[in-house]
Amino acid sequence: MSQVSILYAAAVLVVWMTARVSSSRPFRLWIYLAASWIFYFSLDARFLPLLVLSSVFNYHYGRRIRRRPRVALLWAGALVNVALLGVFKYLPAFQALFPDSPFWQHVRQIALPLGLSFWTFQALSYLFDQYRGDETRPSLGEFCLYMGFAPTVMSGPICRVGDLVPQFRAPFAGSWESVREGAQGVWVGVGMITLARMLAAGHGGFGVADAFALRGPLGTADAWVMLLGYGFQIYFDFAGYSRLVIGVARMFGFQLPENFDRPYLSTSVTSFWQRWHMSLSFWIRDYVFLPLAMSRREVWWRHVSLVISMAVFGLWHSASWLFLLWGVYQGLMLVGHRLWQQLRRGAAPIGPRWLRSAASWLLTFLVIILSWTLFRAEGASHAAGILTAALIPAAGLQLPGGFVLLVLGLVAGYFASQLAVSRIPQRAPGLLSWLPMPARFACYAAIFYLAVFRAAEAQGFIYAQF
Amino acid sequence: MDHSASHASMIEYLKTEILRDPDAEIEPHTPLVSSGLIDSFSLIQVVQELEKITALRIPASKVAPRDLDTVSQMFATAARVGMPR
Amino acid sequence: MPTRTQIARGLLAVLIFGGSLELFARLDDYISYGAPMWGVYNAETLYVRDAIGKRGIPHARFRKWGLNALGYRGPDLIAGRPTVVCFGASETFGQQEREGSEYPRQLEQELNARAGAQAYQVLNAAYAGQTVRTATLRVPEIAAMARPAAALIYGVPASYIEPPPLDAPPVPPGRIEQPRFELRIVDRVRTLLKGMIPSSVQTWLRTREIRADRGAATAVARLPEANIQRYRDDLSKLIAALRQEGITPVLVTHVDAFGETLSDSDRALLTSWRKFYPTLQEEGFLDMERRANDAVRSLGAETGVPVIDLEKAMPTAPANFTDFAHFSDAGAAIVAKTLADGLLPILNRE
Repeated sequence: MSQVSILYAAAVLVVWMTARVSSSRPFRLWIYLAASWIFYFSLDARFLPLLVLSSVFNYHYGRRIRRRPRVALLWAGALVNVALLGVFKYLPAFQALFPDSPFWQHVRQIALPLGLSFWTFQALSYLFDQYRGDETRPSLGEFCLYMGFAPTVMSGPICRVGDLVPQFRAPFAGSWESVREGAQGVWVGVGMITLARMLAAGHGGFGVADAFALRGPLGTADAWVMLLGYGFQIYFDFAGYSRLVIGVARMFGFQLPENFDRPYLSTSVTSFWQRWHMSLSFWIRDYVFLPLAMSRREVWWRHVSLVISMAVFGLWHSASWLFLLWGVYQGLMLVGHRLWQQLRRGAAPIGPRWLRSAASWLLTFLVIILSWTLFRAEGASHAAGILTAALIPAAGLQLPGGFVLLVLGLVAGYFASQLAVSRIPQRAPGLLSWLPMPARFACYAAIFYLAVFRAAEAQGFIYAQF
Repeated sequence: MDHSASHASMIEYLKTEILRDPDAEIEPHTPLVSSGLIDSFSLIQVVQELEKITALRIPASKVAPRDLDTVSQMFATAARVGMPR
Repeated sequence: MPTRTQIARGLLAVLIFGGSLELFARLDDYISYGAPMWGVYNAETLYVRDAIGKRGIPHARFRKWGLNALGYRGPDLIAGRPTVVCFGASETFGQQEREGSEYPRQLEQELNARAGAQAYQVLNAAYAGQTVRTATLRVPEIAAMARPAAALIYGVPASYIEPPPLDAPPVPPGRIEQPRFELRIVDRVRTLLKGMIPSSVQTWLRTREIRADRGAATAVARLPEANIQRYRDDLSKLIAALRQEGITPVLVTHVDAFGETLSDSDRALLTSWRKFYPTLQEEGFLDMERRANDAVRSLGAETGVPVIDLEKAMPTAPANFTDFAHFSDAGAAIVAKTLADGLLPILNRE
């Protein structure tokens, strides 16, 4: 915890109090907008003008599309946004093709504006929705707030105009009850981020990043432990961050879309993608997969569309072959699950129900954990090395024992806690409220201890780079 | 085909072809997409069926899953964006 | 109005929260460093007291700090390899640096890198609070154990602000006085608060604490000449003791984080320094450093002992220090390089 985080907490309090006492809706809107832009400025001062420019452009462009819903107009608008992403996000990656060109040396230096991928996707969905004739018609101020909304501007969840703007218009919904709910979300989010940071910091100075820096032949156990470590680091990190953000917005009475729904408990890849980074997954479904799949009638084309959509999902993260491959892999797994379902349709089930669920869960879990290789590896040969080690049994363990124990302990603890929570009837809402008071406060102390005294050692947030 | 007949035939289609559960309880206002009963893959079949029942062409770029969440929304959407064949 | 039960429940909740925090702190120490769950755990557990003063327990460990077989920080010595011994206090022990980045260890790497082989080893004979006088009394013992070729003397003038009286009775040997019980969470909270509370508030708190000290009432603006003279005398005794054992002494001037002009943050830093020595006013510290270093230079000239003028060589950039005088990793690296520059010609002459 630093002076900066205290400053942000104080700012949240001031904005909350101001919003609470003001009865004027426009005044509250401007307070939110000013606070959001100041927040963005404090994080990445250079690119605030870009955010404002994109907001103003897309607002006016969306109005045009609504007045004259022409496909060509829509595509031109989408192209402008994609070009913006292209310049800042994808162009620098092409420098590798022209290693000696001084021009490309400069291109490589282009910095990524904070949250660009997130708010540009929000702009795109607005243009598409306006083309479809969506009822929500934001004002300029409302649209700017939608684009730069402080809780989501950095790393989502990716919202839709139809979800957010009506909430901007509603009376202030921040109550003590919403503050309590929001604070609990923040608390759980901080706890999850702390777990992610524990994996990053590792044990005895050896963390997840050090595992991926290992060179030389890896054992099968090495590969799976490091993939598990990364898979849970990225989950705790991003899901925890999303929880935190949703919690902060909840304090102000806003209901943001969920971003994660215990994805590692999924029993199929299809279900996993309805529970992991949901706001992006649904975005891809609505604006890439469905239009694409509906453009032809054949069933095979739906499968192709699914793979293409997941490839776009992968490329959203970064322009690299590995992310493209990662997306294609996910698409193929989804198609595979689909075909398997069709094959088994009408067939008699094999074995007892619990065994089928357990087998489906395990297979799904392994397929997903394995996919993090492509997400995290530093190059094709690195990825190939990890995959080979993971899939072809090899003895030996390079990873230090403390790190292995930390990863396996956290993973086992996570599943045990999920199992415990599912078994205990929920008497009251809230993650820990089912516990007796002493145990609950011991849990709060655990989160507090880990977050405040241990998490400071570790590095930043994985999704901030996307 | 009148209003309730088209609703009934869509519900029948959903029960037999999509959910494969003749005992499923579907009303014109039952949420289907948001509740997870219909996934995005099946949604495409549903749209094709909708085109068949209404004898309209529904342009892909004009519909979103939230416009097709219930049977009654499906027909409202078809009426709004559908084009005669 | 809250009822009595509500108050009791609230107190219980606070108690459980605090108790759990303490338990987690101990568990953390146990998992991270193999520390005992119960009992006292602090840096003083590294030491006992013998007839001379504080002495490291062989192979003792506290957090990341580990002592060698001789009871000094660092790895065990290798027989027959030329050894340089470093005398000093907390700056030399290395309070803030990451493990292995304290300047004696970096000096060893620097010397060997320049020699192109594992030609030298450095014995870090310092501990927090060691004075030139106690170092002098240790010389015969260190000479017998390690046979060093040269000794670097990084004296700390501030320890002569309130030196123990010359006729102070020796403290009887035994264990170092420790509190019966300590809350380990307290130290963590203190560190946390230091990062959170604005420095102006911290300075204000320190000023209050200094004022509350008895010595502050009679605080002087300039360290009396007698104290500087005593520092000089003790240094010359250490030089004599080293020479008697055939060890080449090398003096090093003391360096602090302050430049020629003082900024506001420098003033705050001075107050945090004074907190340890309330009887000298803030303005006296820089004057003390100047005069003490002059004394070191003149002593060097007088006795023919080489002086490495670290004060002149070291940039006072904030990145080199973690507080008024303790080094950061980067600062310790500069110290190591400077010392290696000065030391290598001497070692080559030996």
